[in-house]
Amino acid sequence: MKRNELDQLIDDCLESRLSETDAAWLSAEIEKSAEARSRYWEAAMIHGLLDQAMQQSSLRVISGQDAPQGKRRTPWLFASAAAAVLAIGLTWWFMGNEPSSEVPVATVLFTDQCEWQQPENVIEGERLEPQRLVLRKGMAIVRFDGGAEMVIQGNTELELLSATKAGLLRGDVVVRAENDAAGFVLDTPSASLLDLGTEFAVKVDPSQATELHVTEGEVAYAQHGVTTVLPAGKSVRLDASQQAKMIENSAPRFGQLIRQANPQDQPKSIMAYHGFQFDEGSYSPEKISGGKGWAGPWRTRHDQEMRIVHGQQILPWRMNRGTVGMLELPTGQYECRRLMSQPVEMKQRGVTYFSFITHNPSALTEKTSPQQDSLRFTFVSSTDAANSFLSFGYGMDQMPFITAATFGTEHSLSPIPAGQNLLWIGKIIRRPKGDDEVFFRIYGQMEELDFAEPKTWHVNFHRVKMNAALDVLTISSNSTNPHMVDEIRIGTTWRSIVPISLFRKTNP
Amino acid sequence: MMTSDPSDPPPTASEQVQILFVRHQGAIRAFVRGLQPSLADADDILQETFLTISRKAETFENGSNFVSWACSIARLKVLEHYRQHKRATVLSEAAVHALADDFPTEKWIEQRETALMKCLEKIAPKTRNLIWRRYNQQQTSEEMASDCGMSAMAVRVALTKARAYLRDCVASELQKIS
Repeated sequence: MKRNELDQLIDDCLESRLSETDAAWLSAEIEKSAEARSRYWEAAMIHGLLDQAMQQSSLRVISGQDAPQGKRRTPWLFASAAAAVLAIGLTWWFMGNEPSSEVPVATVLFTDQCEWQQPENVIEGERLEPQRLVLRKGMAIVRFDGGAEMVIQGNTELELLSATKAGLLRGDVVVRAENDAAGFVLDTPSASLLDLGTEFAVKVDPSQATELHVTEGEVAYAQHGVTTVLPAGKSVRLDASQQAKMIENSAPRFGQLIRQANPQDQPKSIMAYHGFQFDEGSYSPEKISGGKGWAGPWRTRHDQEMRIVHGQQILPWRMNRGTVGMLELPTGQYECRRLMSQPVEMKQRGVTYFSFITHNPSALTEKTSPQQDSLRFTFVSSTDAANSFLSFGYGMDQMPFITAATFGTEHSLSPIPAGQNLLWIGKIIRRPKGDDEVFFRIYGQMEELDFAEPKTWHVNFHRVKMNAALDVLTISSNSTNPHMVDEIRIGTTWRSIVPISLFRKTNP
Repeated sequence: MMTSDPSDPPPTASEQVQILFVRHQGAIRAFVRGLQPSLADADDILQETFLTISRKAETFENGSNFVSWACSIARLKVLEHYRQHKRATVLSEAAVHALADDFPTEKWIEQRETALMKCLEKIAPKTRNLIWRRYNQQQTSEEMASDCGMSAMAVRVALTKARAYLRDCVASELQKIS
């Protein structure tokens, strides 16, 4: 049998569309030929791995979205613990990198009065590569790419090993690894702990003894080559000689620590803001000034007027300011831009977030799709516009995308929520060495915001490398319906662009 | 903190194999998916395998190859499933045994997983969308055709080509590494 015929039969088999004759042919070939069996497993593995990657991508890409419910069932086993292996695959799918020491494995979600010994400084929103963290004072929350979240309290020394594994050398941590994050491994000098879908606290004292407190679910720990499963409400102390003693369960809860830290808005970290607080009417662009962090008024292509409208605000996201006035982007092609005082310096280490609200009145009422509908928000260099820009938007297919000049475009797998007001949030991670990373998510009005950035972004663009200063913000549209834009915020932390005090969940 | 009672009873054999199952699930699932192409059936078989290894945990020898032991149970579950459904359009029992005997190692699978993630990045968004619909939403060719404005035949061809591309791309990535 020729190789392409064999491949076709194998593909048909794996797609469950073999005829009776073909099934007999393929079976005979597999029974007698080692090459056929090897070829079969090569193809079967593509199916199997795609299945795993796509199953996980649904969790990341669709979570919180109005995407149609598929037929995929989630076996109870996966739902509880076993998705750990798959989570690693997912990370790679979005990371687009092989795991290595240069590949980030975690994100800093929150810092509170932190004094770091190693590295010298850790900033909110930053991505962390495998490395040792030494926190002298304060509290930090880190999310591993495998999904586990960890509260680190000073004085703690922690080794980040991978997206699903860390080593605690001394100090206190609390780990929350729910559902798809299960399988997180924490090694200590006296034990290896395997999370089975749970929340637990670990303390390593100066004598290198480990205290494990399970507050929810189960944790397995290995001792003398034997694995023990510790259920919720139980605690154990494992000393350096690996003697186990049950102790009182008195660990703090993850949510309790966050409430104690009391994350606040960070208005001081806003680099630029505009709320279009003008009287209703049409203005020449130079009249639309004001706001914060701009180096001049708005400009429009062909000096088109800018129109401010009132009474359009149907905002599920209450904002501190800007309750009156929105910028209307008219039908047809339209573009306005504004020079920022403080550019997004791509060659400097740092994190930039942005958010703004869009409102499309016709999308809320019309059942048919517009003939033309695209909207784009772009950071661009005033000196090298063709080669230095980062663009966030969606087109006629309603799929959010990020375009990075000369690096191409990454699309979301799921469309924007239909017929809703939208909150756009983007994140740019800048690194002088190593790749930049860019993330984008469009929130529908029923989606909740939390004290920290989401686990799931709709678009993840890795391997971007830019050195320019992106100093101009451009908003462009081409639609048969007008769009409203409001509350543009550009800042250095999640908390500066999302007013969390208004949204904070009652029980974080 | 105060110490109290002596430690809990040691873990049962069943708990120990369950933990091993969690750790090695990627390989076991790949094995089942290879022999049972239907996603829903593969999920059922995986669950039945999990329950069986829990029941038969006492027969697992500590220190022996857990994946090999679990796959030997999964193989029987696949064959049981074939017999129950009596389909003539699936592989023969002899072919299933031959494939199971040649099942690749965990390392082989992990290498391909890493390479595949790289290769997926090279696929056009439209094709990636089809893959997502096929493997996540479990849509039929007809459903995808209707949603994407293509013919069902075009969808089937696109997916077959995409998988062939990924297979070749994975081989090429692995060659680069070696």
